[in-house]
Amino acid sequence: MSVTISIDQRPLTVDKGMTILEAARQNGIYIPTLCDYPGLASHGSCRMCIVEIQGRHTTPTACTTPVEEGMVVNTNSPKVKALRADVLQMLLSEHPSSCLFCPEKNHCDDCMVTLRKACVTTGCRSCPKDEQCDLQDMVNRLGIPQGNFPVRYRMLPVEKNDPFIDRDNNLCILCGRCIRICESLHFSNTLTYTQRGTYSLVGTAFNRTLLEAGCSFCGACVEACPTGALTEKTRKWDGKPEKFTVSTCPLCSIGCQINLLTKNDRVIGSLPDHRSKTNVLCVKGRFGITELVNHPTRLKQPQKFSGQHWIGISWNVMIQIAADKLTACAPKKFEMVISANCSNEDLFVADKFVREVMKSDRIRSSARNSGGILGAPGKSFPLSILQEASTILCLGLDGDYAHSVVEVEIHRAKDKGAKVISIDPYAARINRFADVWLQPIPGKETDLVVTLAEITQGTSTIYPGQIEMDRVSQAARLLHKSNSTVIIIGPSFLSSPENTQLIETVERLANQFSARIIALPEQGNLVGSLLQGISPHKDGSSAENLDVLYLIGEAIPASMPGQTAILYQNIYPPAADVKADLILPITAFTEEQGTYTDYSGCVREIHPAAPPPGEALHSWEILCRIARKMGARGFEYARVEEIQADMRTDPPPFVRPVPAVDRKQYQDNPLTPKASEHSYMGFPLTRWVEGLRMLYPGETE
Amino acid sequence: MNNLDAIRRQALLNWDTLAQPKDTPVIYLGSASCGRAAGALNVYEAIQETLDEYQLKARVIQVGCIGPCYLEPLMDITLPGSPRVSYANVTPEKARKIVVSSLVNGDILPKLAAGHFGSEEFTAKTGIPRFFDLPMLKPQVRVILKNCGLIDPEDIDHYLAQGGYTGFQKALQADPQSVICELKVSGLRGRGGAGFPAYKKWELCLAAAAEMKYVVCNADEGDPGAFMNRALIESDPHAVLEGMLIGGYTTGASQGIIYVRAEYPLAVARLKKAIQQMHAYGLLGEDIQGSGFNFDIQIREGAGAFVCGEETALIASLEGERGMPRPRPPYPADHGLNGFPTLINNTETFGTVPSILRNGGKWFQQFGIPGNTGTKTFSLVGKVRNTGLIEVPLGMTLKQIVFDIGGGTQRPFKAIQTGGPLGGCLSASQMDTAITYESMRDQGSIMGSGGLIVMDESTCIVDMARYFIGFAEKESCGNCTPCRIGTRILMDTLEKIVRGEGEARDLDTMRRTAMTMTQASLCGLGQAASNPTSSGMRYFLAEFEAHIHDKYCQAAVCTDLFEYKILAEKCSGCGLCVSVCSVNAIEGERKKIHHLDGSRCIKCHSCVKVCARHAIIGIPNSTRAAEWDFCEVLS
Repeated sequence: MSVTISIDQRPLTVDKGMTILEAARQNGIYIPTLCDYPGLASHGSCRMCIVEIQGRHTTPTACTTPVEEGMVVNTNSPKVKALRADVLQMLLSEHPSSCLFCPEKNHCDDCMVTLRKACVTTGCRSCPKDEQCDLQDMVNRLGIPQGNFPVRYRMLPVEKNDPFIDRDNNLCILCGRCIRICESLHFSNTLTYTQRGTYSLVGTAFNRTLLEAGCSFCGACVEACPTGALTEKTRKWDGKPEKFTVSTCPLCSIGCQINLLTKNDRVIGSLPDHRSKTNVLCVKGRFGITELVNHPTRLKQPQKFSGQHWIGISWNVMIQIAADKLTACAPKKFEMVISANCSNEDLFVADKFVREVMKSDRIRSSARNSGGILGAPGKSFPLSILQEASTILCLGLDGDYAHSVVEVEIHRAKDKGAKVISIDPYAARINRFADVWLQPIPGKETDLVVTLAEITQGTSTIYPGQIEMDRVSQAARLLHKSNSTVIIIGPSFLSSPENTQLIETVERLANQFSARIIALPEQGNLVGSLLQGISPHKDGSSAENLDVLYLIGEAIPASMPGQTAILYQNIYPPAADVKADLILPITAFTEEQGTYTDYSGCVREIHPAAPPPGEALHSWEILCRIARKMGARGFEYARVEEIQADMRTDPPPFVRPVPAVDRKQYQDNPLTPKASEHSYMGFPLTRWVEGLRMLYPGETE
Repeated sequence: MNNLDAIRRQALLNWDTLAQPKDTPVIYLGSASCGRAAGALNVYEAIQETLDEYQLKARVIQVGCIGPCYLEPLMDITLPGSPRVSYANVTPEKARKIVVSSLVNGDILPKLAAGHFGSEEFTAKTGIPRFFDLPMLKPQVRVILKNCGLIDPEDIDHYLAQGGYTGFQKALQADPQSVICELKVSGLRGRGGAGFPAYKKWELCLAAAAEMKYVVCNADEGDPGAFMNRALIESDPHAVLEGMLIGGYTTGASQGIIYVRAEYPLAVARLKKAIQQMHAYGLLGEDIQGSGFNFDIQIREGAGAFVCGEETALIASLEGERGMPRPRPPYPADHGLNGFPTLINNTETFGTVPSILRNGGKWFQQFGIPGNTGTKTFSLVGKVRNTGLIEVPLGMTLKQIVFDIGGGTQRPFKAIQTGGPLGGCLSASQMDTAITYESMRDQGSIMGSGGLIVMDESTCIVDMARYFIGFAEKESCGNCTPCRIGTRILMDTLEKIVRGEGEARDLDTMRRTAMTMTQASLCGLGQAASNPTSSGMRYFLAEFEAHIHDKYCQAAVCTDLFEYKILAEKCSGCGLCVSVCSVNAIEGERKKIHHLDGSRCIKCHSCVKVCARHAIIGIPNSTRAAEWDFCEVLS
């Protein structure tokens, strides 16, 4: 149904349910807004979009007024212009805006470099959001002369006690975008309006820190904030980004599409790539990447250990030394451990190297095996199926931080009426919202899942002790009543020591209820590595027997026998107390072109956003050079596309089935480093990203 | 229906024994919050003690507020064979005396009586005027307040005996459309302040299709000093509840909610009791009176926010959200509480509906003037002689209200604040204005919920504006820019002026801010918050200018802008001011003219209050003048 209206004397035909603002935008008519934000319901609080409507004596806001047949709207009459100017001046009277009106503003820019890093913002030049601020935009557009409302600096304390995000309420214009996005996008309700009247502030309940208030640090509020009230700690003084590159976040297997921001050839931040339908990120991908890839200790130069200290050498020398060592090494005395954080192309070339050059099959990753659930087509489904589910069973989901994007999807499903059953030993936030929360003792998760399965199958009724049976029965009933069930398995359950039994039980449950499974392993490219046949398991390997251990993106195991030569290929230096022989610097994902395969088997692309530091090379490039130095053929790749072409055409033997896990072998193998749950290239993220230490206090190396 | 009629018949019989007791006298005590504040509960104890002591038999009934709060505590006695006689400003001792004299000796002490509820003959016989002929009451037309102060609010039978719930019974026999028609004919406009035609809201809500609907009564009377709704609920709660019941039936709602501010505990208690009694008589619950209509009423208390009196903020509060107004459309009648159509009206609006249904819309039309029909309650307070709750037909002039009903002011009249903290301040030259929704608005004020604050020359308009804007600043929800920041700007400017730092451009700053607030705010609070300031500047510009340019507050309120001086020609040397001054700023021997030292004076007003000759006045502050001159030189 459409109506005819007129805006600024232009007759328009628009849909009946639209607001004046939507109708104007659709027809290219500009109406200024501050509290409006894509994806959010209109709020009507900033009052910038007021318009004059014939027949009405007040000036209502265009964003909240629905169109009506025959409406005559004027967005730019002198009355509206004057009112809008006054509203803007009111905002500026409580916002440190002296720079906007200063006649010297164009001259002081060059001198203000250090002054900008003041802890108190008194004007635009000392504000982290300078030149990226919606309020500045508004002033430039509407051309405001000297303000004539009495000014008040609110003297509110700047909140700096949280990781990642600083809050300066003196710059806040109370548009409410952060609150509404936290509420409707993330279902978190961490930020809200507190107090009222002239004392209104955006804050948390009872003025707790964001951390205490249960914030998951998705950073949506920071992205939405029009002024410098909410800022990222690591992006504060970088200024406006120069370039945006779309890529994939490798820090878990979900494969969110991110927008990498760079300036001066350096990654300064990351945002969700909304055009690729990624609308929210977790704390790792949103706030972790800058510090991860820019850490000052990143390896820049090939080095060899002289017996006393490390000496920098050229690549030519390094390749020669490596080639010599590897040529001298017998196939059974060689092992390569490669991280499942590496791209498919790196993995492919590594696998080819081990088989064709080293004539060995001793290549594996340190990722814990996740049974047959991953890698096989049709086994793990994408997150979007949650929206069609009527019951969701979550097993061990870290919805608070690492998998907060999954928790958002679950909330969205819950809104539509889905029921949620959560099995989780820890008091995570999702459990408060679950319809049934089953809390096993840590370590006994599998037992509980088995019990649930038996009860739903009616094969058992008793499990005395640890948990109230009526809750398990309640869960069983929900499963029986459901006509569309989805089971999500989080990384802690997927890689638990007893995961074989657990995964078998889950598959049985899935079969019983025709449920679909979403399996979420931790490492970004675990599925990719499994699909290439690189598994965690290796028969009969023992540390004493190796001559050469080639680690790519993996930490050096704690106790290594003296005679094993270690080739350490990574972006970060090895820990101080372990020995290595050669250090080969490589690129991080922000400097690479390539692909990952996400949890659902979908191939995701990564694109380079910044140049590699120093002389770092791509892993595949290093392997190719060594291979060529050793006289091998088929390693002439110059570009990633050539590798990808080979990947497509190589026959199936390259894709090996995943062998069964021998638990004992896995546990006793000293060569298996214990990768912590949130890691990149063999090190826990908390080592490089300070803020994460506050979120995961127990998880330092 | 039958059993309600039967109950009413019995109630009438019982009422008759109360109105015309055969052998047991009846003692009434005004026991609403106004009475209690004046000490009614002590009087109650005294009455009980006296009855015990003298072994007297009497029925003691606590009633609500009859209106003239300045006469509280009010105690009435009906002796067998006599009409009900009312005694004003009763203390426990006076009560004792009157009870003993009336009940033991049969002497009703006519000289102590304030009024009676009988016939002219009784007046002729005793000299006691009829209560409703008292100057404060005579011009009033009591429709909503018909039962207030006369019945026991905690006894539904009393309400039934006065014709209560006949309106509802009539509605049940008619169809919703005819009910709405009656309302339309009556011309009732929403009594909460906006004056939107009541029938329209009811019509919209009836027309909205949904699986359920709500009726919400707005009893969050937040205006400081306003007590019309409180008095109504404490004195005649069933009037409001019957109105809600009729509203529910007409619009097809099944759940009623009455949102009372938490600061009214007595009102809440009486509502609870009244609702219980309705249930007992089958007036709430399922299949009410066999009509197939289901309705229940629950009480929800506010939590101390003035802004929750705004209908959409109230609904947000009921939903458990922050009490912030929401943009309209959609209107609550279409999309209100929890998304369902909601009929939300003020307490007084609902309180008026039963009598309209009972007597017909045309009957209501006879009061008031076309476009502003019917009566409205007002709280007449401030510096006027007869303070209290009044009910007058719309269209009566301010002059009639202040001078005829209110008995005028002791000191010269200066201004009247109408409509509460969001209303404007009118001066003596506006006193011939007839009180209608339109005229109030045209004069720069609002009808509001009916507060009328009378001020005399001892009130400073600038200080009054500052008080009200301070209220709005704190009570604003803070959501939209013009209100949140505009109230702050007005407050800062007024405080500056009152401190003696006013500048010429301050008037323009305030005018500009006020205009932005009025035009661009989201809700009524922001739109009207600048009214006291704007109307103050409009009608009392000279006073503002004196504050700004001359740094002088003639009313002697703004402490920085005056100092006290004793007028030699008026001082009688009585020494009272000397004795009350806590800082020894006044000296003078008896029978000699006293002198006041401005530099010691802390402006506590004690001397002013105690001087019978009004010999102490405020003059421009010479102590600070030098400082201001200096500042002017600098700027």
